[in-house]
Amino acid sequence: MLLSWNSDPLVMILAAALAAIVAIMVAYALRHFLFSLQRLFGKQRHPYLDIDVADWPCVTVFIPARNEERVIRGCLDAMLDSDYPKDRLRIVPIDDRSTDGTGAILEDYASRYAGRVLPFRRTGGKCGKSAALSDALHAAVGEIVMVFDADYVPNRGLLKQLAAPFFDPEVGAVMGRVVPGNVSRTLLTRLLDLERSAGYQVDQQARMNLRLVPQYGGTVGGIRRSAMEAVGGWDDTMLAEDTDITFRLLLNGWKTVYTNRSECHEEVPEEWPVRVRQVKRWARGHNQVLWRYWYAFLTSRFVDLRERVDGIMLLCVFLMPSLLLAGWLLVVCLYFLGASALLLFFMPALALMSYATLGNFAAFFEIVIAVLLDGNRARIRLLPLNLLGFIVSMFSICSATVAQVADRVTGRVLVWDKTARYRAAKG
Amino acid sequence: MTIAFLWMVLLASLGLALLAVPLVPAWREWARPTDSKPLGVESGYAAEPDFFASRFRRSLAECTPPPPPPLSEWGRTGMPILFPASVTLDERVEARAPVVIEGDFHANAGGAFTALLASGSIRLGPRSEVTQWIHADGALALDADCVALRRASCGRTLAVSAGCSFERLHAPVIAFGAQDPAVKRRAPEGASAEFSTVRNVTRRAPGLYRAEGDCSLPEDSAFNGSLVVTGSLLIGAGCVVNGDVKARKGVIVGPGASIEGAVTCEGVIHIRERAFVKGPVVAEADVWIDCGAEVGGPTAPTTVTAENIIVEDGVVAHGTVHARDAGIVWSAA
Repeated sequence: MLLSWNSDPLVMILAAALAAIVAIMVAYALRHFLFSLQRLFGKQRHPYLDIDVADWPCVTVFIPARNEERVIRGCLDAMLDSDYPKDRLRIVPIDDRSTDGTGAILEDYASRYAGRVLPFRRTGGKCGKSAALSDALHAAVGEIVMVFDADYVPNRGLLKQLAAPFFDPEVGAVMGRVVPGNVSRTLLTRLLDLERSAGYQVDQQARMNLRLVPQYGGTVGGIRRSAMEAVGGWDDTMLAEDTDITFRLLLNGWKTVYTNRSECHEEVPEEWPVRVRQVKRWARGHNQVLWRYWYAFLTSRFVDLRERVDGIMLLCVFLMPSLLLAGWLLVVCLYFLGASALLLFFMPALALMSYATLGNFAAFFEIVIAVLLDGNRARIRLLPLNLLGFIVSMFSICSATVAQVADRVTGRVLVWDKTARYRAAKG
Repeated sequence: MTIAFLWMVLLASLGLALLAVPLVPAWREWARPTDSKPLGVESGYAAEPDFFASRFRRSLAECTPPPPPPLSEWGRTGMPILFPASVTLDERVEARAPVVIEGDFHANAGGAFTALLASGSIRLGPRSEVTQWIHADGALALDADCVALRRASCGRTLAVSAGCSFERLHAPVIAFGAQDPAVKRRAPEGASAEFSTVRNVTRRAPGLYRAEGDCSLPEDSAFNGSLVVTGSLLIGAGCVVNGDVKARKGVIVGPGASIEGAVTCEGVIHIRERAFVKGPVVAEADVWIDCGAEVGGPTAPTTVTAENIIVEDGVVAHGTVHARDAGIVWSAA
């Protein structure tokens, strides 16, 4: 059956919309292919990794902590064991109105390591990491501020590796690699391990190699204080302060650098409800940044063309699941409108590209390459089960996007949601 | 039940079976994990220049190596060759296993070693080669045309003669080629100005300036602050910069110029004769360092890192010089 604009305008409009969705999915899939091939065959950039001796700058490490008695000791002990010059390092755990034993633990460390551990206490103000960091910024010394979540355990050399890129005056932020430490706990942690591998080992490093937009992730990273102040400091209205900072720095002329070999263990969610809440928070925060900066980013004179293309694709990534669902809805509509001939072309493309694009954030071929590069071969057998994570993430993101639109209409304020901890308390 | 229906059931079953094939290993790996350890995150090997020497020294403490074999056996034995006192070798030697000396070590020309460790000083004759690492607690001297692959480090002065090639050198003082005491660096003089007085340069934040396109800093001028250049940067002779500089395409630090911070570049950095850079020198392509230039200071060691590093006679560096691909000492004479 031949369709035309004159005889079937509705069908043609729906088909055009479906074609546009498929084209966008193809563009994202090609981006992931490019990243994977780049990691396998391209030139790798680690320009600052070899700086092992230098006159290291003063660094303040912020550790935002709200009810972190189970994990905070491990993080503080690791910081105190760092090989960073002791007289250049100030550790500032931020006690964000904890109601458990976190405050007492911080008191204990402050008294035992006077002058090195200087807790900052919040008793009021807005909830959330951005607000806590914003309040604590005046307690920082030196030009470099690093941020670690309380469940992170950095190795001895990590702070130097993260400080080294700041010798480049164009660098505004540095991001290290986050590696799940509780991999073996549940199926979810094992799937998240695959996802994180691909996200950092392939996606972030390829963006670094191709001089695109590596992303500051809010932890295991550092920020240049003067750059931060020049772009307005931490914004406590943002749910994804990391994405917010990445884009504000970039559109004002500072670069974010990713250092793949600066690895640090973290705890990933072990339960699906926790994971769903985490993904929803990321989706809402990311979309918030998209809404606020898309125009400024497209018109910034400091951003070149390839950064602009990659940055916009990065900003829109949490809109893709909604777009994908819209695509499937269009397929159903077109079927019942009698345009099944068109679907023969669009449906396989949509099916193939949807997972290639969204495959639980890190597309499946990126996971394969990442596992290959990391040298952990057998865990790749779990890849088919990643479909489960893909479906959960897709519906979580869609519901978060719908809720966000509803919030805009009703004027409801976004609320920060803390991720649960699982590690047994130390000491 | 028709034949067509049976075919349909068969086709559906076959399709489902094909889809289930990849789930079998997935299920087995989930039920009985064989690869579920977290990725290791130790980074000591990268951060510590003498990591391999230190690790080997620790491993020696845990075992008792046999007495040193005769020289003719060095090329065959796989056990560490341990000398309890200083050694001078008058003939060419090849050692397959690490050689450890409690004292000084002096090898004749053309020696080939995998690894060398001495509690005193080490001197390798011309055209010697070390393929893994070499460390001396005292001084280390590599005579002409030596090859030091991987890591070379020492606790005092590391003298690298002309014609040598290297990868990663680390010492409080690294002296390249013949030193000419007549070549003196001029002390910075004159009042400092803001970068914003230079054409193309705008202020981006307190102490940070940015130039779109190429940029030249005038000779014998002085500037405070850090500068980012999107093109190439030419720092004039005798110019002083109290801050860091970065250029995307290339940097030339003019003769006798002085940079009190770091120099970073996505292209090539050329440090001309008698110039001085106090902070790290980081190039994503190559670094050229001319005669009489100095990088870092005795009390402020630093790092030079690039794909290739070409160093002229008479250069002094303090800290680490790391060529990811190859480093060469070149003599203008």
